[in-house]
Amino acid sequence: MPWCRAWPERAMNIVKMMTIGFAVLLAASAEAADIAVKDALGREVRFVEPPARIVIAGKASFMIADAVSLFPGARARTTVFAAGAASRQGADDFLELVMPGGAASTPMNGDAGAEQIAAAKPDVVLLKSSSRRLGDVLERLHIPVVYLDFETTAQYSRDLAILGRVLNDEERARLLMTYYDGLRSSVSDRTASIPATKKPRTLLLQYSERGGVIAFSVPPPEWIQTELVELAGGTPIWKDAAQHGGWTIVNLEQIAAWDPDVVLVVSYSAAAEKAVAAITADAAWQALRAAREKRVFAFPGDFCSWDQPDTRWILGLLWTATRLHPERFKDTDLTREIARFYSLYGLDEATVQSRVIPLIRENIR
Amino acid sequence: MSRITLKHPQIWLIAALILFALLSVLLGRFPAPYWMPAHLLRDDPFAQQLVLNLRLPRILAAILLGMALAGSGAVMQMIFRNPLVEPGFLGVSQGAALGAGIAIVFFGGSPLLIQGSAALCAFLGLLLSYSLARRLHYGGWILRLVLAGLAVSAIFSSGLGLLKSVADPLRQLPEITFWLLGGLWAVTWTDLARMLPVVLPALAVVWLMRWRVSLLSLSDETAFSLGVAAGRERALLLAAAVAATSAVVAVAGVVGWVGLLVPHVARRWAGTDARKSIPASMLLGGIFTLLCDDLARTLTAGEIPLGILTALLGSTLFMALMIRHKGAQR
Amino acid sequence: MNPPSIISLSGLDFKYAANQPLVLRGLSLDIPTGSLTAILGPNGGGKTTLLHILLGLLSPEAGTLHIAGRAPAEYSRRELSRIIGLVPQNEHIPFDFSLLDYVLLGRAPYLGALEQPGDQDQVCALKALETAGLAAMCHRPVTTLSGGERQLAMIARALAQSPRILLLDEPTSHLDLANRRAVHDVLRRLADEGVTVIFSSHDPNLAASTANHVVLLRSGMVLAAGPAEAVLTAELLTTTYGLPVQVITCDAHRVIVS
Repeated sequence: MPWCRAWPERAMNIVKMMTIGFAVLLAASAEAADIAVKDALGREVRFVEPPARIVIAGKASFMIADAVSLFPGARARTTVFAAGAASRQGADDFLELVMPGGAASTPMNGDAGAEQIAAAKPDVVLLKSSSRRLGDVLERLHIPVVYLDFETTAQYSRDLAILGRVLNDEERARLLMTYYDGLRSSVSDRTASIPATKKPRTLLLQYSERGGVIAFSVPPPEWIQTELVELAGGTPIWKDAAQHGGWTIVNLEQIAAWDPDVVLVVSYSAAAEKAVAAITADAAWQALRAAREKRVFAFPGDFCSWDQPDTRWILGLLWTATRLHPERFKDTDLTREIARFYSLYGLDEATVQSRVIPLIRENIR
Repeated sequence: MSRITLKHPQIWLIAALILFALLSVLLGRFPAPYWMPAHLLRDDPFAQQLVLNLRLPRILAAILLGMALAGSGAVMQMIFRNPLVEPGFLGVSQGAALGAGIAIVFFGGSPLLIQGSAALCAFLGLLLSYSLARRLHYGGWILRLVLAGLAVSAIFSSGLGLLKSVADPLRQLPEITFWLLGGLWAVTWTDLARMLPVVLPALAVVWLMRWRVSLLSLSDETAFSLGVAAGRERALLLAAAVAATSAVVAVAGVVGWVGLLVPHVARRWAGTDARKSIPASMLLGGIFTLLCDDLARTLTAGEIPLGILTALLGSTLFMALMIRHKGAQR
Repeated sequence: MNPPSIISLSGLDFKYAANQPLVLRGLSLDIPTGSLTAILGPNGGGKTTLLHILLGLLSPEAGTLHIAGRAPAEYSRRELSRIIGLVPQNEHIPFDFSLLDYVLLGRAPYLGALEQPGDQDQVCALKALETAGLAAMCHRPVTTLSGGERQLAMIARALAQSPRILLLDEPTSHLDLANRRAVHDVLRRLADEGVTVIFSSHDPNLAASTANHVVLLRSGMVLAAGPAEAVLTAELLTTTYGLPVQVITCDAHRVIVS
């Protein structure tokens, strides 16, 4: 067909193709630019572009901060309003190590007020669901809020995925999820086959000393401590007696009545090792079978105790497994696992040896 | 504080309140601690947003809170012929907090329900305190009422504590803990809109009946001889006082010492007669609470609970007042 | 309308509770308008009770009571308080109101629950203070007044009501001689202005020096009622008080001694 006569047709074709191409491009770019995040409370939060400045605030903000620090790209652009040192020793030290210049401690309530958070000019604020009220206030200022929980091991994977979307590094999130899920499964697979009678009756106690008065308490059934014991193949014998929402104080009589096989002692204020030494020296405690059989152990921790819903819970799980079922977990080398864990934070072996290991005062072998 | 009686104290106080409120708009932690440059209000849309949605409702709520608590305190002190009472001492504030807590934990916590429940339990608190005081046989009237009120307040407080153990730790517990300390950091325009229809009419009733309050502080015999239906008028005034208190407590939690301290200062500055001291109490209460709330949100990066600041400032000022007063006539 | 007896009682019975004995029995009494009447009798004889009944604070079991020609029930509480005022025996004033503000409270019968006192009320209060002789200290706090001044302040407060009848319960029992004189003068002044003054006292000498009409009350019954000269006799007083009483006349003043 001669060129000049086919011109209108060809022009139309070109225009059609350009329009379609343009539409596709538009659609594609729109989808790529609009980030939708479904947070822990099921809310959908939309971002036009990935948030640059990240602020972490509210209660237990250090737990979220530790999780965010697992993402290398996020470390430099995050501000953390951390609760005062009363909540954990060394929290600020660790954040300074991995997130230079990122932490600001606040006294009193431990929560920075909404105005203070706003002054940090956040593109997104990460909060735990328990800080809902604070989040509502922030949203009145049109500051996007994403809620995370990080309370149970299952939530950990979900919330890491959420973080991945928010921090625009889903690949990293997948890597972390694989790490956590993998290690978790490696423990639970080995303990799943253990019959109930062979599972040691385990008691996890928090030891606290205030003004010379010593108190022991057990965690609520829904908290991660209980879950760790179960995953590690133990029976948490305090589960029915504990109240929801907070630690329940128990006395020695109750402990004796339970007659646990293994006792794990957690301490947030003093070194757990010292706590264990103190109580095993006590005559009343020596009557306990677990004490006589030398199965009272101090729960380890470095910057913070490993029993909390912090990133280190995986280390806590591994350690618990080695204590509850030493034969099955003979091959677990905790020192190697610690190094592997902190490599996720970009800390090399030397740094781990010099900064982390010395903080572990408990026996982890 | 010697006996300086201001001429037209109301005008001075209103002026002070307005001035202080305007200044408070510029106080906060944004963009930097303490003071916000005024031009930001004109230039920065985010600052405008902040002031409109965060600071303004807070300022107004603080003023309303102070007016309600101080006004109630002034009325209660006169009606019960007892300069040592305030809504927090007679189980009213704690009752309101407990009522609100019950509404949240057991009945879903819709805002209307919270307010209603708070009001109901607040009235109950007052009734219990008064009935108990009538039955005590220890000490004079002042002592009896204070003792009874403290007992009832303690019962309600511990009731609230028990509620905490039953509450859902994720959703309900933070709410209840918040109430025990008091705070305005989450107050919204909606909260304000819910307070106003109760607080304003109640305060209006108190204001209109301000002269009668002096009258009702006299003995029943005298009141009768003056043709006053003392029982009914006292009941009306107390109803107004309790309604106002419970409405603000349902939003702001238990905030103490305002109702105790401010009426004392108001009586010294504006004259004892209720015609002057009641309006002065309300205005001074607004200023005092606004001051405390400004400090609560500005002093540190974190929020200091309002109840702690009013207790700190209030008790210090109260002690200073009492020590000076010892030298004066009585 | 000025009836000859501004207050008249007939056959009045009163007791405090159902299972209590009668405190007042078959009381019949007429109090002349504009008189200065003293109600005398031993302690516990029912004087305060009688005053409370006249005020309307207590209701009698039986009998009739007329105040200014009508039964108290026919008046509203406010109307009644514009007619009758009471000065109680002592009054605890818990706050340090200024004297003027305190007396101003007496204007309550003329003001609604939501009203504030106005200029006219101020004028009445100041006038009442003048009558009581306290005008000079009208800005002082009531808590700084002496016993006598307090009594006068209470009288002034009742006067601010502009009552036609003023009841006083033991107005001079705590006062020294000089203050008693002051009270006596005020009461006299009031009677001159046409106010019917009725006061109870356990001191017959006060009645002797002040009253022109006397009622003797014993065990809830009227022993005698009438002009002072007729009633204040040795026989009647002895019967009333239950111990020998002498009446000594000296320069037209009667003095009663036991």
